[in-house]
Amino acid sequence: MAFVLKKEELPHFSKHIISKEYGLFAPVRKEARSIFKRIDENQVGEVSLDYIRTIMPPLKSLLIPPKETLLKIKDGKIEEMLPGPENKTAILGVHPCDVNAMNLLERVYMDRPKDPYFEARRKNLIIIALNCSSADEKCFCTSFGTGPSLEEGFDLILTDLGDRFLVEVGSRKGSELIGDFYMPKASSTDLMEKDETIRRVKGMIRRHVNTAGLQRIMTGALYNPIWNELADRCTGCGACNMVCPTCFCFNVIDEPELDSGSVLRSRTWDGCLLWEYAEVALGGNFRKDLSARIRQFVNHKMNYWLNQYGALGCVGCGRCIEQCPAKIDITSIVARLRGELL
Amino acid sequence: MMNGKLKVGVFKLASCSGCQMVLVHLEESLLEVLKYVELKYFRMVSDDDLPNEPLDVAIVEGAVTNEEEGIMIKKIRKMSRFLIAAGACAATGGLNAIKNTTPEGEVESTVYSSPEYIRSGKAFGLNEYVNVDAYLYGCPIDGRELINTLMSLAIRVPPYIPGITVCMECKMNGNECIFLTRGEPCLGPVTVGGCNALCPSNGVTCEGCRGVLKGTNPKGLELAWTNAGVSPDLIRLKLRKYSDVYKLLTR
Ligand code: SF4
Ligand code: SF4
Ligand code: SF4
Ligand code: SF4
Ligand code: SF4
Ligand code: SF4
Repeated sequence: MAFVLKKEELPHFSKHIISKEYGLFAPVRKEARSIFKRIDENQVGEVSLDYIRTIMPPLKSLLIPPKETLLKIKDGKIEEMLPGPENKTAILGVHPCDVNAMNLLERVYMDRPKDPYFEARRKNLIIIALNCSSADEKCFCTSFGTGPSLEEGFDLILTDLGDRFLVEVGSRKGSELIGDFYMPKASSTDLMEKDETIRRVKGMIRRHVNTAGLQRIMTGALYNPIWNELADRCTGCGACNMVCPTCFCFNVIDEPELDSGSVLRSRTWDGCLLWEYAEVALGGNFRKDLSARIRQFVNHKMNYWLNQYGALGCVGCGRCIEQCPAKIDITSIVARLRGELL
Repeated sequence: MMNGKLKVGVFKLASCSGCQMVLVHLEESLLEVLKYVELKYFRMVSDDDLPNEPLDVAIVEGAVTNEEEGIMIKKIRKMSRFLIAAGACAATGGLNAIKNTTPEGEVESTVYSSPEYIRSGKAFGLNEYVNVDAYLYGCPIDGRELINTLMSLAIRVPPYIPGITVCMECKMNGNECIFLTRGEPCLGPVTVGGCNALCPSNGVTCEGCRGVLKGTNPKGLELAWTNAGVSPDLIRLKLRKYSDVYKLLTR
């Protein structure tokens, strides 16, 4: 099923979503960039779907918040702080790479064992994705088949066709969301224009990772001097871990809550670039050297994920490249190890 | 220390008292904390001599800059089971330590009108003299972190002191990077988080007041700044403000 939504109708559509009692998250302009933000009825005019990459990955931030309280412990009683079904959330305008990153996070959190917090948030979430109508020199989703268009993991998906959006339905939840909101049916011309758009964006993507036999090459390079060389430049800041939509590691902390006399157990995002990450009791540390830590980051994405979860752990969003203060570039690391770049 | 209230002393060495002010300004929360904590010594609000009974927790503000202060911190260590270095000065020497890397007369005459009255040498964090059990970073410290630490000790769980960087918190807040977009040197990549990236979230670079996080690479950061065209003078000024970065680089 496919429909057409005139661009000037987007605010009405956003209002329609809110009227169905969803908390709506959508990209809005913040200075030169876009940022996903909770939108209320009066802000629907601010929604701007004309962006390439947000600094933070929107779905990871919603499904595994940077700090999430799991348990409240008081007088020996433990209360699970699971989000209830009333916390329905809709996210509008997520690009294919980010939806595919969420599909990967599902492998991590919905299986072996199931994470009840992730599951509850995922069940509450409806995804209105957005095929890309533009790409920049940091995008490399085509290397993994994770963009610039999307096959699964969405309830509705939009494609920008200039003066209108094509709206395609991906699930029953999606068509129920449309409900009585009137949109004319899409024509075969609309669908052809969509294919044309995606072909054009594919042509804009200049960056690539050659994944052929990659696992063997990465494993063969575990003792390559490149890791020491990178460790001289890397600041160890962990920004790459934060901005990566597939980085899923967290730390668990206990904090007393002052007025209630209880203790809150929370999880907070962690990153393997940190010293503390591989530190164990009595001060032992499995990755004392920064070279071992940056090797872990790159190998987890480009190597270990495959055995662990059956797919590579990078979707080519380009965020780690864009946000690294040391200009460390995972695609050129792979290219160098493959001998494709000196 | 597990029976009754936690016996706490608050001490001051060479510092501006800003961290103690944070404690005073907790106001209502302080009253709440006092249900679990008994303040045995607090120089700022009383004139008593050092307490003569053992303490569960000593919160020490300030750097050690002369012999008396060195003796004092050793005394405090002896009488306390758990010693907290509170604030940049106690943790690393703080701003005081600028004079470790700049001729002393020069620093003192810019600050004081009659520097000949000053009796102090190089400035060091407490850990140069005694074992420190926990660090509260920041210039000044963060009130919430102080409460968390005291409350955790009162209910016998290890206090949580973040081991993440300012950059990580800056990213979690969704900020555009000031260094990458404006080319201004920011110490966020190597600085201990916990302030929720206060400065970059308000549009100014991190000055590193919370000290260098173990395992980060200030040399890499210096290189990144140099490659981005930051002048050597600015780099030097920036790295030496809270001097422990400088110490690491010149070691
Ligand atoms: S990486 Fe691909 S899917 Fe992601 S924003 Fe760029 S073009 Fe779109
Ligand atoms: S490794 Fe980098 S490019 Fe790949 S998904 Fe993570 S942030 Fe995006
Ligand atoms: S790259 Fe590091 S932080 Fe990210 S998921 Fe893997 S181990 Fe965790
Ligand atoms: S963002 Fe760059 S400098 Fe920071 S830890 Fe990652 S690779 Fe190193
Ligand atoms: S502004 Fe500073 S703290 Fe924020 S990401 Fe950039 S370097 Fe890190
Ligand atoms: S951002 Fe940096 S300078 Fe500002 S409070 Fe935090 S650690 Fe201190």
